[in-house]
Amino acid sequence: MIDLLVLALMLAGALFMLVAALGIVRMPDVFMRMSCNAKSVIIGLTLLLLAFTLHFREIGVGSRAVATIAFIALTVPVASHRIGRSAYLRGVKLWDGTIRDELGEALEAARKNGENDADR
Amino acid sequence: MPTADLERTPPWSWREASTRLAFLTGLWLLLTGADAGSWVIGGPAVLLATLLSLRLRSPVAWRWRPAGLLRFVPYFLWHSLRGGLDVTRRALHPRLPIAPALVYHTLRLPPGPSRVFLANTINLLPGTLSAELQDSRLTVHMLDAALVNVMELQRLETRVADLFAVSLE
Amino acid sequence: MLETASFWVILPILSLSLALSFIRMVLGPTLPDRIIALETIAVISVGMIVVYAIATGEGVLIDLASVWSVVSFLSIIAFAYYIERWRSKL
Repeated sequence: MIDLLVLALMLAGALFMLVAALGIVRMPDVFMRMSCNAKSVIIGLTLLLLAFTLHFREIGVGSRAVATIAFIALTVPVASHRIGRSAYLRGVKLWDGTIRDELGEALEAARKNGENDADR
Repeated sequence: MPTADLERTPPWSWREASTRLAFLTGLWLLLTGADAGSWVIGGPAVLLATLLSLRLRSPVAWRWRPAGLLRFVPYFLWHSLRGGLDVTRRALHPRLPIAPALVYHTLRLPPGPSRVFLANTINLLPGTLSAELQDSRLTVHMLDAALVNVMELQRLETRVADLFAVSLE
Repeated sequence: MLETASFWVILPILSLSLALSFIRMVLGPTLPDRIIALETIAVISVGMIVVYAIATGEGVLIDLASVWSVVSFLSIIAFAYYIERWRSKL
């Protein structure tokens, strides 16, 4: 029973990793690649580490797995922010479709976009 | 963060130092499974880490609220899960549904660690990524520049203000 | 059961993810893109260590996983720092 749960967690975690990798290949610019990467990578690794904790069920290794989850959850967003910032400051080219404007105008454009694209 | 201030180490109190020492000791205990022999290395490591963390403290005084943390953690977990599912949907969708935008968001949080915390937290929420934080202007990249996402940002700001016990301007 | 599943299903999925990340690493086109690929590769390899630990029952491998995640974080921060300061074109 527990083995099945461990297996399900591992599978879900591995699939999230696959999505992260697929995301960085498919997305058209740095920021979108990073967006995809940071979120799915954290969830994927958290699920794998949860599977690990559940499989071993010992205080010693379990606590280290939880500490690793906490560490990853603290550092991956920081790393993404740093890379994003350096890319932004170096003026990396954005994808052509990117709206680059003040908040109000961006929202206006987004609303228009929503009207055109009804199936979303 | 203002870089000029980093040169200056703010004075620290014994109370603060002992809190940090206790936390790092606890962390060492957790990581080594309270193995007695590990203290040969652990003792000096914990002491040095405490000194380093005092040396690298934020120049701005700040505090956090445990009740705010309790409210923040479930919110954060739920929304980062949503964020993961959201990018999963986008990355797997054959037509790649994205409408990205670079949005300049004026922060209502006061200067200090709460702003940096917000900038980092944004990275895990659905479709947002912080590109730059300069004074009160946060440049956010959005996968989908929809109104809901901007409102989400403002809600997150309220949560962070609650966590750091600061008021929004 | 877990051992078979890990070696025949989970690790192949992770290997495929690694291969995809390598594609991005090769394609670039800019340095930040490659660093993102590097970050993904690092996290996937931490995941592989964790799965291998489950498959073989070697709990101590978690130490390797946590140390590796610390080191990869530091390398990414260092890269980001130097990109911001490098004068040359990306």
